[in-house]
Amino acid sequence: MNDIDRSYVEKKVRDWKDRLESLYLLVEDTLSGRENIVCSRRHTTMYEGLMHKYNVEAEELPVLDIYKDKVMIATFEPIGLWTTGGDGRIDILTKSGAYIIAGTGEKGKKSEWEVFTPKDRRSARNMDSSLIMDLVSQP
Amino acid sequence: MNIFDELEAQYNEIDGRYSSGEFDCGQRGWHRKKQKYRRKRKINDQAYFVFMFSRLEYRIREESAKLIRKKKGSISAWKQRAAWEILPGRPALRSHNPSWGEITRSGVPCVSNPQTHNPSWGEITYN
Repeated sequence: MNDIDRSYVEKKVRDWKDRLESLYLLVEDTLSGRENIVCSRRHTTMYEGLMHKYNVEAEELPVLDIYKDKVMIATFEPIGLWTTGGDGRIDILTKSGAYIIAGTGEKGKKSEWEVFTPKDRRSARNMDSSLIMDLVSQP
Repeated sequence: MNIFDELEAQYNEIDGRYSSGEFDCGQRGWHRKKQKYRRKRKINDQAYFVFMFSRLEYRIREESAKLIRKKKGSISAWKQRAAWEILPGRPALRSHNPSWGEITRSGVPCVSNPQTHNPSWGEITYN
């Protein structure tokens, strides 16, 4: 394990932003052909305990909202980078509950994310286009 | 249904209710109410984690006590045995940390104020 210092924390934060960006691009690309679906981004502020400890400045992180027929149906919200049991967590909030996306921290794997649906929190699904389509096909 | 299934079902039920509320408030632009739901979900996450961890801790104590008893029973030299006698031969139910994730005799965890003892445990500090 790396020694934790300021540059380590900065690197982890940069990596987190990059991973979020790739994830959102996957979602946007998957939904790009659908006329009644619109993806929209806004921002939230990230300032976690280690950032405070090592004097790393707060960062803006993107939040992704998905609209279907002009009604918001899902929101991707970054919850935290330093979390127990995963390398970062993002929630997808929907009307029927939250999908939890956990970073596996294993780069090079087919999916660097595992998704736990509101109905099944034990078996993980891959973060892929089929999951995204399921998400927007919900009634 | 064992205690883990029961707890998981309860955790999911509560999280489902709060996350739907959080989403609903986001849709309507009610940001303060949304933050309240977010906080409730965070506390629910932490409570679930503390409970599961306390079960794990108890299991470790149980298994280590078994090993200690076995060791005590196999030592005849009194000098060595004296050292082992200091160690508990059964899991302590109410000893080391009376307020932190302790399992009471009824199997219900007793957590008085986790934040006081370990403010950084499970901390997620997003604004």
